[in-house]
Amino acid sequence: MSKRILVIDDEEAIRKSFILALEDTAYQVDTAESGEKGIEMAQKNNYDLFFLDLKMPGLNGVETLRGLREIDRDVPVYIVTAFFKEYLDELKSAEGEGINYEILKKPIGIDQIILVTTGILEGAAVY
Amino acid sequence: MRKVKTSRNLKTRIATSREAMDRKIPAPTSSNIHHGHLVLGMRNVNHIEYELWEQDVGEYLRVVDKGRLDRANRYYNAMNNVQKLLMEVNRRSAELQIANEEMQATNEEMQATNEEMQATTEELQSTNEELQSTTEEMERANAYRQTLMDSMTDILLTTDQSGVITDVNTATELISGYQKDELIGQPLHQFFAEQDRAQAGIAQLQVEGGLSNYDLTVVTKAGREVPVSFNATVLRDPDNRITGLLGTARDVTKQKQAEQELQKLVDELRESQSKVIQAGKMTAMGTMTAGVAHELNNPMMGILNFIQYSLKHTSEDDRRYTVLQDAERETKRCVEIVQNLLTFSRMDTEGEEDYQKESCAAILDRVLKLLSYRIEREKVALTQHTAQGTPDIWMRVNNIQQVFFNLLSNALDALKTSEKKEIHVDMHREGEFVEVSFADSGCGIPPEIRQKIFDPFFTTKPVGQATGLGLSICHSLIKTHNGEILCESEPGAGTKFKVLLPIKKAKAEKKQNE
Repeated sequence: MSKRILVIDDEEAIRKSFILALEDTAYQVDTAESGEKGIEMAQKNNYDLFFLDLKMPGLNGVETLRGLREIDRDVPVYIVTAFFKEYLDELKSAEGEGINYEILKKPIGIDQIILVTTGILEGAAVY
Repeated sequence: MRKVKTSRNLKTRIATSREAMDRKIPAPTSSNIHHGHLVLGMRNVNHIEYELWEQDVGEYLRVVDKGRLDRANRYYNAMNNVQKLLMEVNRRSAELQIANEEMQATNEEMQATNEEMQATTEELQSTNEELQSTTEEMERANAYRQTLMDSMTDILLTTDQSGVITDVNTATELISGYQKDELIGQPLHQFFAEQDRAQAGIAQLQVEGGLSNYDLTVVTKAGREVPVSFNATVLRDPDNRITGLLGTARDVTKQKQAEQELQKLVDELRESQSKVIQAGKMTAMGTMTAGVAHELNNPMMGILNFIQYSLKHTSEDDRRYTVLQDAERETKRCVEIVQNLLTFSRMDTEGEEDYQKESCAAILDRVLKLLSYRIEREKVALTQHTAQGTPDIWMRVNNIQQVFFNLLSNALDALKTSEKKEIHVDMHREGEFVEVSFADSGCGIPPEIRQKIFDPFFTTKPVGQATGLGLSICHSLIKTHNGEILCESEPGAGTKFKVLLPIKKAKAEKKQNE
């Protein structure tokens, strides 16, 4: 069974970017347009990787991250953002609670998306 | 010798000495005996023999009488002489009387003359008194005038018709440091630093009869310059001919200083006002650009991926392939612009990069390496000087590197159309700051443009070649470091950007402020 990725972002352009970039790979890419929806989907399915936006209406990225970590403590979560200063303190305190995450800086192109994804999921020494 | 006391009763009065010699004194008279007894010491007068008596006493008596007569003769002679003298005295007295009378007459004449003289003297006296009082009045007037002159704190001087100083007051000596004697006799215009202007003023004064608030400078004996406000009027004689000038000059040093201080305050106020405006503008622009940049990031990421996806699925032979390549390149440019906007608004780097101690020279070296190709290609002579003892400073290395890069890129741009292609980078300590200056020999920046160069999106470069964010970013980054960035420029004489970075750790101060 192929590995599953969930992209949680309120922006359709971002969700589509991930879908298009990873179209030719063996991974299955699902998307959620909100934090609430993302958590709901994470409860139903087993995901191997999350791409998560920070600034979203409703549950924001950090809150969603906490929700995801309640379901699974270890699955890699990549926060994709251009701007995280606003959430810096929240992220820091989450980090203090042992919640781990990585940060990817927007905007990223197709090649980087593929590179990062395969790197994480295949454990390839791409960095 | 024993004194002989002759009896009073002894009859010795005789007229002449002859008579005395001839006379025989009767011996046995009691008084004579007694006398003889006394004289001769005889105890018994009866035993005195006449002869013996005659021989001794008689002889003696005769001698005595002779002496007496001689004295009488001398007396009479003397009396005669006195008589003669008296007669002479009388004669002389008569003569004197005559002389006296003559003198008396002369004396009276003299008296009259004297009286005349007295009268004349009195007249003179009164004239003298009048003169005296006139002189005193004059002296009083003079003293009053002098007091008036000297009590003035302003320079007061008079000149003759030709402008040569004839009198000065105490204030003139005090202010100029010259003694009165040194000034009197000197041409007035030489008293001032601006001799031509002073001469022009004097000429104007002679035509118009007065001069007011004419700005001049007095050069003191010690060489100090004292700004004065000169006022003057011409002096005329009763026939209305100009006889000289009367001038006053007020020391306006304090006034000038006050004016300068006021001007300085006004300038400072203007500067801080423009700084506030600039800061406000930057803050507003920063907030806005950050918002815009953030909002643009998502759609741009979409566009970038859509193009790259299309590119991936388009054959290189397809003529749309190159169009898509163009689209990708332009999108990447947009991404870069947005990145710059975020850097400028400081929303991007904050919290990411820590301050570290680094030398500006090392950073400059890195930037020069990055730009070395351009510097060589454009044949720019770049010189660099780092003063000894320029300390390392606390900074965000990437930020400062970007500032240096932007400033040098701008300098290179400025030299494109310039014949003289020189850039000089200087680094030295300036108090609590390190000053790094970038001077180019380019065309310079006109003042009206200089005010706007730090505004975001302000550029003089053609559309598409610059975003107008380079200097805004520099400004913003330097401000984050609690530093200053200044521009000095003269059109045609090149431009110098000065970056002042505090040596102390800016981060610590910043946190205190927050």
